[in-house]
Amino acid sequence: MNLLMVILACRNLARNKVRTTMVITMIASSLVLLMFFQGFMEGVIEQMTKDTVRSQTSDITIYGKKYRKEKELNNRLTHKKYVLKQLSNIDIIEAHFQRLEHDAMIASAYYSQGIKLVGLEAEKEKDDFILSTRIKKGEYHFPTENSIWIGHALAEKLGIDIHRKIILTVQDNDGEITGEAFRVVAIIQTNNPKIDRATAFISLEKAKSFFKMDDITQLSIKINDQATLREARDMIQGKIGDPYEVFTWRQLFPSLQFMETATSSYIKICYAIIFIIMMIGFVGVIMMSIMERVREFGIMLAIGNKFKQISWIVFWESLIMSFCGFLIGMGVGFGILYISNQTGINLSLFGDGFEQFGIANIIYPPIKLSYCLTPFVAIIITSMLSIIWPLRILYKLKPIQSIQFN
Amino acid sequence: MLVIKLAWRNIWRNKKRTFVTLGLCTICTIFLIWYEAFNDGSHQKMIRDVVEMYPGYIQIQQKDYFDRPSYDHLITNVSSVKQQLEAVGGIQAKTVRFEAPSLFSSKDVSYGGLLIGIEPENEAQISRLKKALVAGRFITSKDTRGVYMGKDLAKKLHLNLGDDFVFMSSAIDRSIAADTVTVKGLFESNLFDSDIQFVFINKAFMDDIFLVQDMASYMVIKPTNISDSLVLAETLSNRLASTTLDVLSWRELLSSFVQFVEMDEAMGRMAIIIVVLVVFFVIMIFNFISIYNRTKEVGMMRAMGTSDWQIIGVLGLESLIMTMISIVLGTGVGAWLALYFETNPIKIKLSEDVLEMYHQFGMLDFTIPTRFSIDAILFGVIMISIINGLAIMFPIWKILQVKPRAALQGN
Repeated sequence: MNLLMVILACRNLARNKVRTTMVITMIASSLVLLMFFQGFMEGVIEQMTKDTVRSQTSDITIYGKKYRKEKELNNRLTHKKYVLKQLSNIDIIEAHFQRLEHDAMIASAYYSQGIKLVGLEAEKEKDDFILSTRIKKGEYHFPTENSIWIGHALAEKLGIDIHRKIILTVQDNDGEITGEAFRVVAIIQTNNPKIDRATAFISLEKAKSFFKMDDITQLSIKINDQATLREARDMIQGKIGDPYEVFTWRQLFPSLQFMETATSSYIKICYAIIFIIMMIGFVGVIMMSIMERVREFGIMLAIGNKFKQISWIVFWESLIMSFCGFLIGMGVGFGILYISNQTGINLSLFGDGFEQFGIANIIYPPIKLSYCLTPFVAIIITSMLSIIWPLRILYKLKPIQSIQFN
Repeated sequence: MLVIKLAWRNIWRNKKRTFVTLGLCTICTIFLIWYEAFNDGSHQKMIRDVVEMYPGYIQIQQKDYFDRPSYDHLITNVSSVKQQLEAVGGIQAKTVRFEAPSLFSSKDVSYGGLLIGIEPENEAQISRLKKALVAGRFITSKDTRGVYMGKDLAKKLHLNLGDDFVFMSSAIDRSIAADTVTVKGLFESNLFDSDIQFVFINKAFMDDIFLVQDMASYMVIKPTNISDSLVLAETLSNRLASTTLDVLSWRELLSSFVQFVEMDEAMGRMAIIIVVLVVFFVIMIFNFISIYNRTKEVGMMRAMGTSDWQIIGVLGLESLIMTMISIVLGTGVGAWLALYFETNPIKIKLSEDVLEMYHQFGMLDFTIPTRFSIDAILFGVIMISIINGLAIMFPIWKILQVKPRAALQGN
């Protein structure tokens, strides 16, 4: 019986091709644009998250007590051997990376400014951090003890290029001001403004001798299962105890999470507005389609069909129309997203300074199956809600009156 | 007259449909006007906040200083340039600044930043630095060793009001320039890195130590009428064309930031386009339904000799009347909303962590005003007129395809 209702609904839709096509086009075109919009926005957020987090840390970060709020050497991570020993008993830890970070003054012949100087384990970080993939000029390697990598915006400001020398001045662990010359071997572009504008990297060993200390300021941990991120953090904190503070990357960068939530809410609001307007159009079309066939429905009711069966026909009409729009929209939408994902969306059409704000010039929108879910639910709800009022009007007409209806 | 009468009667033939279409068009007009005013207002505020906090609307610099801000490209005849500017109208205030990268050392800590010599009274008219005060007081031209510094830098150096610290830099002859200064006031501007980098001092005090009498890194100009800043920059540029000076407007000084704002504006427009597209389809569907229901009537009119143009006239007039009503209603409400939120900006409360990230996008605070303007109203009116105009074309074309006999037979 239900199949018959579906066949009847299909025939009714085919009866007025223009109207049906208009509704399908409305749904499909809106979905294509919404999907592209969502993909682009999420692409920007994903890229920002990756560039910000993976240029500074891994999944979990251990600091000395208070270091996160007051980034001073007094609050550094001490008793490193004890910490590493405790971590060696935790299975989910895949790798750990040490960094020593402190303020410094960098000077070229033209300019000088305050920066963050980071000592890191280049070879170890190579595959897990993004720096190795963001070398704009030079090489991901410290060939000599006094080799340095600097952010590209900082290089521009200092008026220097690779192979040029700069002077670093720091206050070491004893409180003495000390300075040394370094040769630039790489210029880095991460799209993380803090790094591109005001950070320089040297080897961890050199940083330790420069600051005259054997400790580090940050220990980053890579775990083998992202789903257990919070549990892993709690476990590590439990093992190493109170003198240390352990953070997940989400805790370290709450603003990124806020951006993610804000963007997701914005997209949902867009969906809600679009589908409410779409529903108004739907109601009009269903109403007209019903009013055209009042006599037909009247006869069906007079020969013994139940109103429920008529409701099913109307429901199927609405659903089939929505579903066709949904399928076409999804097909074209995913097609466009796939092309954009492969080629990237080039923002340099608007200009080329976006990396200053943490946004890469080329955005690769992700392709997610979840993009189908919201429109699918919205389509079902829209097609169900939009038939209520027209059916109510039809219900009020008695069968005999319906047959007489002109 | 008959055409108007017919159109008017047709509109009210199906009141429910008319009200729904009118409601949709009116809401769409309100939304378009308000959204444009919001987009415009929020972006203007972002730019205004950043420009007025420190960089200023117009800067005069020695050629090449913008690309390479070093002592090699200083303005060396400030008084003569000031004299030339006296003759130019439209300037509300002007000041000079001298910037020197320096190492600041307190008792325990040293940190690199920027020591900036300013003319305190003039600076107060140009930028919002004085208003960004959070503790102590802004410096005056009588202060010698007193400095006005970023709150974060003071925290970094473990300094409080009244504390002394040392700056070390180089004078323009590359000799060491160093002295002890005292914290008189702290500011919090939230502008990029300024709170952790900037220390302001009376330029007169710097002149002797850095050997920069009658010299400056650049001059900052505030126009009398801010909306004319680009025109004034052009005028100044022509006036100083024969010199080695460059005149840069805020669009050039903050070019990356302006691009970012423009992209954000484009993203906002994209959301509008999607809404407008759906509204267009809905209105077209309603027009189609309304006209399709009158197939017989149109067939009868054509059989009686009514020309196609007369039919287009009646149907087009119906759409025009509906558009006009929704424009009048929508413009009234939309303009009121734009005006209301201009004087009562939307305030959003966010945590410190989140605010910190938005500061890098130029959102110095989260008070977002709309901007009431004729442009925003015109945008809404033009968009809704285009939507309605396009939405009636297809239904009219479709009905005129039906042969009069077929229309009369209801096929």
